[in-house]
Amino acid sequence: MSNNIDFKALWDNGSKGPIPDASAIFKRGAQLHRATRIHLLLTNTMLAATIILVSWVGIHFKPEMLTTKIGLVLVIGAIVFYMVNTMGYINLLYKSNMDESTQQYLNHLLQIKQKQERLNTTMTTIYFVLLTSGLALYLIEYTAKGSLTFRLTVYSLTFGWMIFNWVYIHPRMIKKQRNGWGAVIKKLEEINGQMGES
Amino acid sequence: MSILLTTLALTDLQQPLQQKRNMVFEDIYRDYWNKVFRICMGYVNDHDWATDIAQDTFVTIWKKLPAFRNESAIGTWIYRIAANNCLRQIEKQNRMPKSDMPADIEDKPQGDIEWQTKLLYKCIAELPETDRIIISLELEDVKQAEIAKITGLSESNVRVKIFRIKEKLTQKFKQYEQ
Repeated sequence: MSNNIDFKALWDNGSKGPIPDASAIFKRGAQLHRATRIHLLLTNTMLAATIILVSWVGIHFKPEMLTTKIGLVLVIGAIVFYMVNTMGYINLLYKSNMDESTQQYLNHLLQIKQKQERLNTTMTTIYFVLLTSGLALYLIEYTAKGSLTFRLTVYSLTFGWMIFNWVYIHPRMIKKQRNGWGAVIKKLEEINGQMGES
Repeated sequence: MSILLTTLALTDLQQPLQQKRNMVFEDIYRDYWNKVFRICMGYVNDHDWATDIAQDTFVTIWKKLPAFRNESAIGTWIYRIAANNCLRQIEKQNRMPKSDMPADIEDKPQGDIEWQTKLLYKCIAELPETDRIIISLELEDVKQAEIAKITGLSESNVRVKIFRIKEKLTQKFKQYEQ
């Protein structure tokens, strides 16, 4: 058993061999840049395609009632709202200063994560409210033209779906998000705690 | 003569900024790659993962180089970026630092330097996150005043922490050696 361990010599022995070519860094930088651009492009294309599709439905079926038009606007609004927010918080972290001190960086990271958690939960609720109310309003005009049985069926299904969303899907989504963020926040708080100990 | 000097100065000024940036970056890369890699390796104890973190660190250095204003020493600035890149790994919850030893190393005699090196990195990766960063910087011969600047802790706190981490590390190391 060693009595005097030369940690420094062992530590230096941890990286041997030639230094990798610097071009790998430029390549990685370019890859990251390209990935961000592709992500932005895809999200924007999906956003535009969704808006075009919903607008086409609106124009094609020529809605007459105001409720239908409001419904359409709410549905488009919900999708745009969700996508813009999703896109926004992905890059939040990358904007934080990587050259701050560890303590400052940890504090910023913690603040960002807590903000993201709050934003995400609120955004999901707003998205559900906009989408379900938009759909309910949109349906009024077209169901009004059908028989009583048809109206009852459509509304039962729609409200059933809304209730299912609020009682089952929405709480599950919120819980899943909270668990994900929660684990990171808990770990960050733990590391922040380590900084205080001496 | 003065015309020649003016021409030379102008040529120097006309030298593309990108080229100068590349030259400065390549110097930094050559001087710091091994140091940054070892810090990342001490943090995760996984060669490929440590290479990824070290590469990300140098991508950040490359991007931020034009904004570096000598407010701190270049080393402090680089180590801060490396330490923060290590800390960001907590987002990758599915990847945990490796506290195991590669199979080919486990059978080697205990006095073997390779075996001991692997053991040291394994012991460091088992420490709490901030302790891993502090001891890595200490082993990298970074002055305690600089470690304080990198971590944001007071110098006295750094000193106490280093003393305790070394004790903990020695204990762990000896336990595994027995």
